[in-house]
Amino acid sequence: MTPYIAAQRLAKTFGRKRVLDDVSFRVEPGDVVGILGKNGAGKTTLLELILGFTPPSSGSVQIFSHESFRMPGSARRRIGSVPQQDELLNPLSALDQLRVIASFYENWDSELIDNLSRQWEIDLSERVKNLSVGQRQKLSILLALGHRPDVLILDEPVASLDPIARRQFMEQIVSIAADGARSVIFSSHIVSDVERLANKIWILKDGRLSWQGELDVLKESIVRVHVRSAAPLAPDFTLPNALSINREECHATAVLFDWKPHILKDVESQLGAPVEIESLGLEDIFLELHR
Amino acid sequence: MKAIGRLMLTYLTGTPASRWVSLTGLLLIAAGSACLLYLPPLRAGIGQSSSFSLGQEVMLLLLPIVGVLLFFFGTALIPRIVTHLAASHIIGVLPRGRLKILASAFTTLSVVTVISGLATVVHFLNFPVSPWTIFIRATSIMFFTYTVLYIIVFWIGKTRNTIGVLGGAMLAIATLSLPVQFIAAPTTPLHWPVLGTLLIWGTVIAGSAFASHFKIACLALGRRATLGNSRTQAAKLYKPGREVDLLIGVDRPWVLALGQVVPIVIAIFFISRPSLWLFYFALFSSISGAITSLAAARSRPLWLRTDWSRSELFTRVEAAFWRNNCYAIGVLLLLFVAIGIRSEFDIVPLAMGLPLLALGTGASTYLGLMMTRGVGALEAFLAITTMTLLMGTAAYAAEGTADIGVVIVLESILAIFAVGYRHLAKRRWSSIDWTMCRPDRTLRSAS
Repeated sequence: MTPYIAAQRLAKTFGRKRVLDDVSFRVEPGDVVGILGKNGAGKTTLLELILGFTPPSSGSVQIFSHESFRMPGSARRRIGSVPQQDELLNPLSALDQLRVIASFYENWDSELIDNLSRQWEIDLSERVKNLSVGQRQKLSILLALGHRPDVLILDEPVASLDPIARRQFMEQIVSIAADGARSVIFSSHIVSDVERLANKIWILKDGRLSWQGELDVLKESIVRVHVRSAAPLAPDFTLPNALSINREECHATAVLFDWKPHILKDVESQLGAPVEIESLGLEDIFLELHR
Repeated sequence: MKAIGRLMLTYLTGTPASRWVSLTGLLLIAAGSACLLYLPPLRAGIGQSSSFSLGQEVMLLLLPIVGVLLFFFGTALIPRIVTHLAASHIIGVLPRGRLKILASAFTTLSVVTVISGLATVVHFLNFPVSPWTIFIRATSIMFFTYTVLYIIVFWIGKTRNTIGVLGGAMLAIATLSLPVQFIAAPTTPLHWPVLGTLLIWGTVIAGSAFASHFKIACLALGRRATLGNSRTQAAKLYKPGREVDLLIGVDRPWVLALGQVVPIVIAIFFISRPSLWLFYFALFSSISGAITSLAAARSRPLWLRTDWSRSELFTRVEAAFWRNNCYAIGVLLLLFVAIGIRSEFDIVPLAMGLPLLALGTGASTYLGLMMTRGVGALEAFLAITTMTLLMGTAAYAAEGTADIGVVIVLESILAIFAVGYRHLAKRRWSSIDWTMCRPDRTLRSAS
């Protein structure tokens, strides 16, 4: 299957600062990709590279088989984007703001927008400048959804939304991706939302993709193990692929990366002690990867 | 008193830069005044024998003037801190917070004014006017000048575009010439600056005293307006077919065009000389092109939603800005002709002024469009060069003795600048990188 987006050894530098380095990925139709990373990890820059706002310093990123920086209008019309800072026009009413953006698209789905604005309780007669931060965020999302884009790119889309609005937003994203023909890429600091919504996770650390893949695979490959030995453990006791390890005489707790079930048997037979496996949530995994 | 003292100290020494600037200013005032008081009289400037050369005398005379300027700019934190504190929630819980902030600003301004006034008395010591008259005139006009300058400094800090900053800086320079006009010509009446000072400070004090009532009234008014007119007013703003203008912020050209009328009409009471008028108008011609420096950041949503390539986008944005600027320059030219006829300008400044104003708008428009990567050393250099050329040409063209040939050459250079900037802008837009002109980046540049 031809991916919607494909990046090869993508790098971006600003002056001497290398923001992204050696990033490669593919986004297939139907993917919902959640990007996690600390502040300054390069999430926004990565999204801007995909959107063609900036050229890569090296490597390439293609969207709908076009170099993103030079993609034609036909490709751009298949993208919906919610920027981190909204680009709404304060003097207009919310309805006119929608009308302005709708005028650029021939396939604007007014019915969808009407339904969503009712469901999300956006007062369309209100001026944009009078809307709350959360309402502005919702309006920005509507502007990105109206032309039913094939790829939806959202930079921190739920940061200002209340839990109910976040849930409604997520339901909408799920319904977009449900037909298997569209993709969503979003960055967020709310790990629980990413966990609930994404089927693929990209974890950015210091400009590199420290992990990318399906959420389930990630959860299976990073686990916490508890070792209880009868004899005191050696001071240099360690486990293969340990991200972190805590030792207390006969007891050790470690978080292991790239965990395979056979490792359990190897460790148990090596120590002659039982080893317990504990699954980690995405938040714990994220924290462990950033230790 | 402790809070007022602490605030005053913060205004003068809040940052390392302000600390050094204030201190250097004070030292220069003291050193310059001491030189003027205790050294032999400076007579070379009036053609008499003197212990000093003309150059040395100029340097000695400049010392306290530079000191006064530095001492004033050392307190440039006042507008920033005062507005920040006055708008914060904490002001509501601090005992007599508003009063103390206002008192601290007023006292600091008074201190700066009195020191400047004393330096002026020393500067004009050999003039046949009583020191008391000089002091009264100096403090009256300086208090007004500094108040206006604080407002300009505040505006420069808040404005989001580069040429706006430059315009503010030029306005500040123009304002600094006020004291010279009023102090050096003792017959100039003082009622305008005194009235201006009373008006500004009266507004500030009233605003401060009734801030909470004012806020509530504004909110109520805003709510009523929102309930009553929101839909109709908003509907007036959006006209199908003007989407591009709306997105890049040039959908209301008359606001800028008519906004120029007010300060120009006010200036009729202060400006009489053609050279000052042309200078003033030239300043406006450059400001009318100022918003173009925001074009790059605002064009991003357009690129994502249209079929236009980056080069086509430049053409569309350029056209939209010219549609907007045409109104502004049109009004400016009409006003210039009207004031020229009323003030009986010579035909030369009038004839040379019209193309100069158009060129000022053209050059600043393309200078703004060229700024697709914030303001680097090149952009700053070009902006300063262009403004200097524009202002210099304006000042020269308005002189009665100006050589028309020289004015034409200067205006031709300005035209070449505009064409060059357009070429550069077009080339930059063909590969525009929107991460270099994000709104937050623009803000950082302005700061």
